[in-house]
Amino acid sequence: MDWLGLNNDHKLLRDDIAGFAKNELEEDVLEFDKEYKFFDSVWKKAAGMGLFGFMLPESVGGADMDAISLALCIEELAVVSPSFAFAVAVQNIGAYAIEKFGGMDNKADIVKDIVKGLKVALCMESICKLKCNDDRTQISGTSGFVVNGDNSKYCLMFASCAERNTYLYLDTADNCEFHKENEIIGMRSAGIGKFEVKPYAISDKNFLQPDEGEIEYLLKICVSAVSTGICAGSYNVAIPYSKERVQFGRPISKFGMVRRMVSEIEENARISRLLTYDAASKFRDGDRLAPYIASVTARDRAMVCGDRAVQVLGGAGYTKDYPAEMYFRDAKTLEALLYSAEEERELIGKIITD
Amino acid sequence: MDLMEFSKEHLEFRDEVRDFAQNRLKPIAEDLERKAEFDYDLIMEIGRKGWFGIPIPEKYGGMGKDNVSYILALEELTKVCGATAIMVAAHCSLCVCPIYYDGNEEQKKKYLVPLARGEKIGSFGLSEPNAGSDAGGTETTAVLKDGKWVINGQKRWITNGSYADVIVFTAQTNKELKHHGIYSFIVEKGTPGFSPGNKEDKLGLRSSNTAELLFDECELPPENLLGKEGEGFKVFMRTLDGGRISIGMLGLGLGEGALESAIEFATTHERKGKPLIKYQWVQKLIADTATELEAARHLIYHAARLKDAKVDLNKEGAMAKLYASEVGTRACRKMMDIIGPDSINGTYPIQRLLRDAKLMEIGEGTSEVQRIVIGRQLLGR
Ligand SMILES: Cc1cc2nc3c(=O)[nH]c(=O)nc-3n(C[C@H](O)[C@H](O)[C@H](O)COP(=O)(O)OP(=O)(O)OC[C@H]3O[C@@H](n4cnc5c(N)ncnc54)[C@H](O)[C@@H]3O)c2cc1C
Repeated sequence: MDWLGLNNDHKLLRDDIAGFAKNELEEDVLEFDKEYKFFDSVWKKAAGMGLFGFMLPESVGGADMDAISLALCIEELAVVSPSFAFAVAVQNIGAYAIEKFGGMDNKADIVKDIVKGLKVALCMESICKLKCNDDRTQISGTSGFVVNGDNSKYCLMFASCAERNTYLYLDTADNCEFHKENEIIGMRSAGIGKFEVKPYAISDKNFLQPDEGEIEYLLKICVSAVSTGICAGSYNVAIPYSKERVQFGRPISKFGMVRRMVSEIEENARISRLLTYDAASKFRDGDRLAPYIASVTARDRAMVCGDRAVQVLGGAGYTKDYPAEMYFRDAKTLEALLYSAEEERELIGKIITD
Repeated sequence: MDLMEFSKEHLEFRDEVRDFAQNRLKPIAEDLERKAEFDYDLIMEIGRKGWFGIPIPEKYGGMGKDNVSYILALEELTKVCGATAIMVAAHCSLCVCPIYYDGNEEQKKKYLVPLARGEKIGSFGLSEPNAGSDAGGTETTAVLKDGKWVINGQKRWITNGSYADVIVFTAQTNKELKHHGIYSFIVEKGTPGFSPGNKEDKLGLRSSNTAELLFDECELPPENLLGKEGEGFKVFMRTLDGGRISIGMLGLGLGEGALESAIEFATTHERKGKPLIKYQWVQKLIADTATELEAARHLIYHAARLKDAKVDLNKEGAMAKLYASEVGTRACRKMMDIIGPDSINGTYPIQRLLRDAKLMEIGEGTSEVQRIVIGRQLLGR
């Protein structure tokens, strides 16, 4: 085990995914970001590699691995494309949630479908605005910022249903319409959009069993992993640039203030990574604080890293010739999609003091 | 209440600009951004109002106002549209001002008057592919041949570059002399051998134009030399001292715009059934941000007053720019958290403000360069 608590399998996995991300995502990432395009063909390859069922039992096609493995995978994808990583995270969360807490009769088939790549969308608690009718037989409404919604087959929606806030499973082929979000500032290749749910008949089987916060913890761990990836991606663009860019007759990496910015990126990447793995390693124990702290910190640090990457590149960082500004926008998007740091800190304080 | 030393005249002028910003500019700002194209008609409309030459004496086509008035005007424009504000700032601070301060009478008549009147668009070409922070590393060359200056080279990231009628720029006449070999020149659109090149696709300020300028055996008559021989670099450094106040104001104004929209949102929205303003995290975010912006505002207007008093403001201008631009970006980022998810799509303009604000930490000397300038003043070389 190394300082992060990773074993050999973890390391092999990490190298595999890093190679995959580099080969499959790097070339198109800036273009796809500009055009709000989803990586459809890479998605199929990712399914082939088994990236959608990390924490599922082998009986449904899963890999039966731990949360650290999932976090590692998400981080490495995010280094190149935070958007794609976010979509893969949602796919894994969806599969895990349905497998573990779903009540549908054909649950196993649905989960197998998801592992094979049929997409599952997620409407997060921080955002979802759907409501059930009083006797919990029908749901309708519209909610924005559904992640991985583009061409999705299934959907997990957080809804308030007669005093109870819970996740609901919907088949998006029925009465759901997806409208792609074409003005979001970041995470533009994560298939984010608005879901319009026309009156949709539901039964008890659509409700997920009480999950004791597990879905939320897994989401927080994944978001922290994406954030860590953003830090590492910022590192990958800023460090070579600082060594190559010459001003005042020497590489800018020779200047103290540039060195400091580079250090800030690496400090923050490590802090995010440590907290992410900490939360992932405690996932099975149901540790409540760790995922909260990881998510607040890592999202904040990702924003700092994206910002520092832009700054190290100067005017070039402000242009779309480099991914620095994409990391900046993607980080801000994560900050906004889940509860903001300040808001969540109040919650953490409450957990600690109650 | 605004107890800073603004005269009645200042405030009346500010209100005039505010009226335009709120009623003419604000409704189209989002559209400008989406199209990401320079709106020539809008810019000329602003020019006709005289706002291209606010701090220039009337005899040279300007409004004859002070720098504080100019900064007040930028504040109002920036709050609603950073791209429009930077267009005006680049024109006025970086093209109009050097011609006013360093041009001879002929040049003032020929170039300054139409620029200040708003009949022509101006631009400032200092940065090059290999000379950004190190502006002294200018590689564009000027060689005197048969009584004419022959210019060769390339400028990069020049605001208004594709549209400018008049461009003030630097070129190296003698590499051995380093800074002293750099001269400033004026070139007009359409001069043979000179043309704007590619334009940039940017994080923000998308309806402002940022382009290359290309010189290929471009011949300029001796009258196009700006300022004394060997003082070109000084001309530019002095220009930047003033320009920094305007870029600082742009960062600050964007932050102020973000604060205003967050306050409006917080006072009209609930979270989980409770008004947002009842949450202490909201109160804290608003209070911290407003305090930082207020402090930055004092630095900015202090620097503008120093400029009006014609005293050296190298340190104060750098401090104002450094602090206001960093605070401005932070304010945009933090205020988005109050609005939540709707802050990142087209629902509210605040995300545009954030993207615009980031440039203010880079343009006209990065934050690091400002720190070097301030440090030099306090620590010596
Ligand atoms: C939208 C936009 C509009 C612009 N408009 C204009 C314009 O109208 N006219 C014009 O002339 N230019 C313009 N510029 C260029 C701008 O002024 C430069 O981008 C800026 O000066 C920084 O230079 P650079 O981009 O080459 O960064 P670099 O100089 O390469 O800097 C890269 C990084 O190294 C740091 N660094 C460099 N040297 C040092 C040092 N000695 N010590 C410590 N750190 C250092 C910088 O702070 C930065 O973080 C514009 C740029 C943009 C993006």
